[in-house]
Amino acid sequence: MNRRWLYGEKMKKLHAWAIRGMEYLVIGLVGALAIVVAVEVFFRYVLNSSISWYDEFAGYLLVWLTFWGAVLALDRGRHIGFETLVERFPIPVQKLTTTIVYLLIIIVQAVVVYYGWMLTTQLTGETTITLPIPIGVIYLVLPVTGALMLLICAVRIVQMWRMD
Amino acid sequence: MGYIIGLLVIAMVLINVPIGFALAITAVIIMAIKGIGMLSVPLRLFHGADNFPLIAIPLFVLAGQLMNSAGLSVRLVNFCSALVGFIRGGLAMVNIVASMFFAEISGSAVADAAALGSILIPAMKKKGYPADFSAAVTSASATQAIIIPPSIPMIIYAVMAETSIVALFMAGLVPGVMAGISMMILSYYFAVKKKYPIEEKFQLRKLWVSFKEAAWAFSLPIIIIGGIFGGIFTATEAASMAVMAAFFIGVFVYRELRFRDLPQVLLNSGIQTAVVMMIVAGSALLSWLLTNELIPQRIAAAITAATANRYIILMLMNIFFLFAGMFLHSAAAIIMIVPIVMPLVHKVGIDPIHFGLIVTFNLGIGQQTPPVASVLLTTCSVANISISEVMRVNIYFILLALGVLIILTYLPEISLFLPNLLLE
Repeated sequence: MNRRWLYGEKMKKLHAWAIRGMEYLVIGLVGALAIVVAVEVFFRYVLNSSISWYDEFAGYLLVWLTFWGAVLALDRGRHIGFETLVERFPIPVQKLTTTIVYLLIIIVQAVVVYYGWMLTTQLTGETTITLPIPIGVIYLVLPVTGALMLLICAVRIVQMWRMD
Repeated sequence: MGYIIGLLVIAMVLINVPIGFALAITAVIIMAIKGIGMLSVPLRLFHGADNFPLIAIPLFVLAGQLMNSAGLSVRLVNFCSALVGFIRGGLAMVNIVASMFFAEISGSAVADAAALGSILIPAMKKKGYPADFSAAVTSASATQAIIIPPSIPMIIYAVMAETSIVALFMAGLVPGVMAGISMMILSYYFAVKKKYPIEEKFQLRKLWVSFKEAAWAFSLPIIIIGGIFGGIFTATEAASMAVMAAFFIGVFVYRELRFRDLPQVLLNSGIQTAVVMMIVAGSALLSWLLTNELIPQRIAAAITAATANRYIILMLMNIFFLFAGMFLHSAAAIIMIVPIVMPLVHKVGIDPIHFGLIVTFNLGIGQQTPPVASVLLTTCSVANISISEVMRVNIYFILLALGVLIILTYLPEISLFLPNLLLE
């Protein structure tokens, strides 16, 4: 069976496109955080009032930033870990440990996807306290980013063992 | 159960499972064994990341990066050069003083070392300073400036230990300056002994010119330190004001910040935040299990059964955190260890603010101590020299820092008098 599609041109393009999209999302989230905090400061000190949805909204921005940024960090290999020991292993052993690492991430993200989706569907009826958004929509970030991280790890494992 | 959790986490970290994931996976395994409902997994991860005070992290990182792109760092270095460049070994002094200013804005030691190192290390080498000394002094000043506010590890500590960010920031100022001065003395000793050059003659006119150039850059420490200490801003608000100021100065005053640089700057801050926040989220899930099992309380009971002497426990903690800091990223170490040891800290009556200062300083030392040494690694790659070569000089800076650490550990008043004075 031909598995070239996994690292063919089309796949590369799709990957680059998806990553670009998420980069814009993260850029937007950080920008929104900076602006919303500054606006709140302006309201409090200049207008002597406060934005009612500020705390909740800023908190959710941080949550979204955390998990979307985590997908990008996983793609770039930027997560904080302890590389010093593994770097000293011979390459075949490194390949094995990397596979185990990806498998472990797949397991935990599978749990996050399944139960995160369950949580999302259970919460669709409720809205947030101060925002007119169903809380389920905000929780959706977990199963979606979980699925993406799972996908990245699965593709990496196949690529790693198929490349040579 | 405690042992199993500990072993699982350590085993996973050793094979380089990213730390946030290692904590979450451990929690999932334990929950599966004990038959705890897994719906808590996404719920705890979500609420772990939904942590309002931590919004200050992306904002401080952003302020630091903007400040670099906006040309503030270069002007800060020029001012420091006019201020202390006349002393023998002047560029080393510039390096230390600039680090102290820079720490007040960027809040991250690796960012400090990268930003200042890329300006100062080539300049030092060109003037005839040896590469090992240049790399060592940059790394030492960047890591010890970690306790000068604002400090991202301190924000994380305050959240984990449920204490005040503002009080911790206040506690860091005097020890930070003390560490800076002690490093300047050590550098001066090296400079005299090895005849390092004098940078420039002291000229009041030059100082004034460079001050005027850098004056806008000084608005940032004033906003941050003044705003927070004066009780005007929370840490998050001060961070946001620093972002706005750096943006304004970069675009309208120095005109070096280009709009097309912005996406990259925002993205970098976002990813740097996310990698720390993933550990926060994973730790929230695991600590919920640990607390259910009363494991931190049991550790506290076991240790206090052996000794309840505050000074011995502080010494043990120092050794423990120093060791942890040699291997772990400072934020990761704080997030993993602080929630576990806090019951012990409270039980023997150590001030949590004082403890936070010691922990942060300790982890700073770890960042310049091999085998991991993230900050030292950064300066070594800028100086193009190996870690083992740098260690010949760096070891003196580490020993000096350990001396300062001991003083700070056993004289809590040095750290605590400022928060006690200002927060009365």
